[in-house]
Amino acid sequence: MYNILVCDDEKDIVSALKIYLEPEGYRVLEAYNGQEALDILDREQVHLILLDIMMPKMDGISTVSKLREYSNVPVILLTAKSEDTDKVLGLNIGADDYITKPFNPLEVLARVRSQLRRYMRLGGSSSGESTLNIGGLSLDDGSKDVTVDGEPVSLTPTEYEILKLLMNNPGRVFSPREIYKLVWKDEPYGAESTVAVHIRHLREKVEINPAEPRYIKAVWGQGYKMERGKKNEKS
Amino acid sequence: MKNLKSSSLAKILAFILILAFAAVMFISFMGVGVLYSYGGYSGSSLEGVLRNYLEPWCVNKMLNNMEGYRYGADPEELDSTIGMTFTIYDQNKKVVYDGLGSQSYMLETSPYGFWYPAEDSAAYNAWMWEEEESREGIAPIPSISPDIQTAVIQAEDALSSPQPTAEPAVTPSQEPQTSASPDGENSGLSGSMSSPEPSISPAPTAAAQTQEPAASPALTAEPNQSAYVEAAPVPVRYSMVGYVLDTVTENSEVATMTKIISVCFAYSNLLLGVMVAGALLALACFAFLMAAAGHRKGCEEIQSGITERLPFDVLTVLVATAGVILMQLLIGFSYGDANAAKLVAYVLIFEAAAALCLWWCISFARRLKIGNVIKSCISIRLLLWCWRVFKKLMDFVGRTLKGMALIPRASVIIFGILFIEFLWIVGFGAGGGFMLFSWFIERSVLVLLTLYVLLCMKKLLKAGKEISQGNMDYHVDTGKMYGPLREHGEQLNRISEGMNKAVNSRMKSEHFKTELITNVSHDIKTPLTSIINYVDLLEKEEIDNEKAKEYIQVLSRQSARLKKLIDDLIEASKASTGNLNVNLERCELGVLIDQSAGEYAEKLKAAGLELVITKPEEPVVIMADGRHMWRVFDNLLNNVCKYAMAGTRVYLNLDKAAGKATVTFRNISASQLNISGEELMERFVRGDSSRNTEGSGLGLSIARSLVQLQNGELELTVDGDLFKVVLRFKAID
Repeated sequence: MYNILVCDDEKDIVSALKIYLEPEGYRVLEAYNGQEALDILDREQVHLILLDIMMPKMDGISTVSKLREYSNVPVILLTAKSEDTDKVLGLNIGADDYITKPFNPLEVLARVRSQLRRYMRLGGSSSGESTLNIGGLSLDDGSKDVTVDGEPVSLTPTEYEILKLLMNNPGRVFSPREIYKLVWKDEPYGAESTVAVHIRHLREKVEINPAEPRYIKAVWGQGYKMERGKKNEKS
Repeated sequence: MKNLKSSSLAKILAFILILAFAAVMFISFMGVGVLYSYGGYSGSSLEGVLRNYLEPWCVNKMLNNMEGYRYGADPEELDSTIGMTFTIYDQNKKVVYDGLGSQSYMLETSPYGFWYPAEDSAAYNAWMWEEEESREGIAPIPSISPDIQTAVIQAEDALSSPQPTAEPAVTPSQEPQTSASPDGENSGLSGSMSSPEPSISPAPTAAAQTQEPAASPALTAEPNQSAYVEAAPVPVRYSMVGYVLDTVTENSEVATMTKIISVCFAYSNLLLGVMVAGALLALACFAFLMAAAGHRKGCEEIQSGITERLPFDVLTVLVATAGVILMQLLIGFSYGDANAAKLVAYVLIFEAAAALCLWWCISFARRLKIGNVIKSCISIRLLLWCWRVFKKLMDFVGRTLKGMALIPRASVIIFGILFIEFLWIVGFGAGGGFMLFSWFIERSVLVLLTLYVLLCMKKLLKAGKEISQGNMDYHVDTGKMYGPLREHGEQLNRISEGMNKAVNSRMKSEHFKTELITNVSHDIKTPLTSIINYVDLLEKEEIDNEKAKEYIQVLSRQSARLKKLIDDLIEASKASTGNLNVNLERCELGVLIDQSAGEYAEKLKAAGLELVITKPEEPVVIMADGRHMWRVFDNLLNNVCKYAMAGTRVYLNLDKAAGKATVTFRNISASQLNISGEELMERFVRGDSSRNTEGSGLGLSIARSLVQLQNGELELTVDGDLFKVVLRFKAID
């Protein structure tokens, strides 16, 4: 039984999230501004926080920065602000994930699960030498197993090869042509868009929200790359 | 000193002292002048000085006597001149007339030759010439003979008459001359006059000799002219010596002058000293008077007197006129013999002049101290007044011209110039160097003015062109323009300023609009979240009512659409105002097309569309922001999926030509498009208004704004059912 703190100045949203989260077996603690959230954190054991940014008294950003002074608890920002700069600011200040309003309840549940798994179960776990880890994503080349936040994912051999290639070279941009040559071991002859199709499938399996990928990112007009692991992310 | 300065008594005293010193100075100056003019200061003795005075006087008298003698006057009658007499010698040095007799004399002149009788100018000229030559001690040159030759025939007869009258006086003339010479102070004089004597004897002989040969050829050549020549007596050469007698009358000018010169000579140095001292003292008093001018008892400031009421130039003219009158008076007095009364008159005139001058100087000093020398001049005031009137007139003309509309003004100016030229021609005539020259100058000035106006107009034209082309920062320099040109330039500047302001305020309002849309959208998003969530929850409830389920479906669909609309709205407003970060970097269009095609592979298949991609072998690279480019492709492909007719092919072309990279999307529209491509790109416009299920109508607008932000072009054409979008970017190597 995990305790999830939901903090939003809109009571309807808090109760809607409560309706979604409680059937999943989480206990929901409610707060309506940043100060209340911090008060609850003092009193109760909290495993995850869903935090709105625009709130009276104390906003989400300052709450996170206060919180990070003493707690490691995962924080998912939940906000109407959808600009890139807002996301970057939130993540840099110490949040672990970011969901924009209006959100899909299923996505929220998936991200909550992902964060909790990593926070509770994977802390410090390390696999053998043949295991590649980036964030919550891990690939064991020996067993050919791929897990996301501990959950096994089934990939086709081509998808597996592409993922292995990208995970072996995090941060490096591979053009579709290169990927084709390296994975298919053949000249593409105009079949580069096949790579894009496979990447898309791969993303749908690995990412929670394929439109906003956390791991496999498209560099439009250049190729694809595996995001480097974040510094403040537990691994 | 200050008291002294302001004391009237001191001033009056100074005035009188100046006049007194000036008088002393003037008198001594006259004495010094007389003495100096007769050589009193060049080391001669008193006799020398007196001789220097007497000889010109004596010569003057003697010349009168010569003239009289030549015209036949009796020498005895001529000899009546007071204090002087003369002797006449013929060419053989024989005494013809002796006026001296037994009288003693003071001064003897050099002998002066003359011809007797002198009928014509030739003889007179000869005499003049002779006198000059004889002074040098040279015999006369024979060139005089041609004029005389014609008269030779009657020479003997003509000579006979004067000779006998002169003959008796020959012998006594020599005796007194020698006897007088030992007489006291006159010894020096006689010694000096002895030297010219030997020169007399050869001169007449030479003249006589030349007469003979010159006359004979003329006689033989023209014998028939004798009747004519008869009238003119043959001139004979004589010489004359003048003596100033001892018995000069006491009251005569000579006696006075002699006395004055003697006294002055005796006190020559004292005179000089007195003159200098008088001048210095007068100067000192003058300096004091100048310094004291304008000071008055009990007054700190400079006071102006009655004189100062007169304008300075008027005073100057008055004083100058008085000075000229005094000068005339002085000149008038100077005629005739000098005597004591005259001397007094001289001094009085001088004193009057000095007083006048002093008066002027005092007034000048006062004015200088007050500082209104120039201002108090009536002529300057008049000039200033004229200048003011002229300026007012010019102002009036300028104002009148300015008040006129442009065309009448220009007409007045042009006709004015024409009229002045006309007057000029009438006044000076159409020809003539000065007329032509001034006309040329005037025309040159006009041409230069015209050129200047043209130059200004060129500037204004350029400014107009720049502004019309959208260069709002263009500024015309109106500093060197005048009149309507300047006005026009300033208006142009104001246009650009106004336009700039309008553009800026528009930019600001656009920015504000974006801000507003973003903020409002955020506020809308929060309630929307609740709507979406609770609709979702409702969907999960078990509801038996079929209709309710259907309604929930509609709610779900519409809330999803609202969400999309809001996102698009934010993006559209940002993109259209350029309120987005754009990081331009290398972007390979071929790769982008492959990536996009991959993303849309399933969607296109679901829509029953076949995507045909054609692209060149070599990579086509442009400078663009990959994420924005993806958004453009995303929107365009999304459009294709929504509006293309199922079962048709969609063509996606990449080309590179002439430095331009071109991407072309072509598809067949499912429904009839009856609006133009331009209209389709307007915000919230969609090809088919009845289709309201999906899309916001912002997709194309966003795509175009994004392309423009990345310095590209988006062109949309509708040709029947063919829907074509062309993206153009500058390709790089």
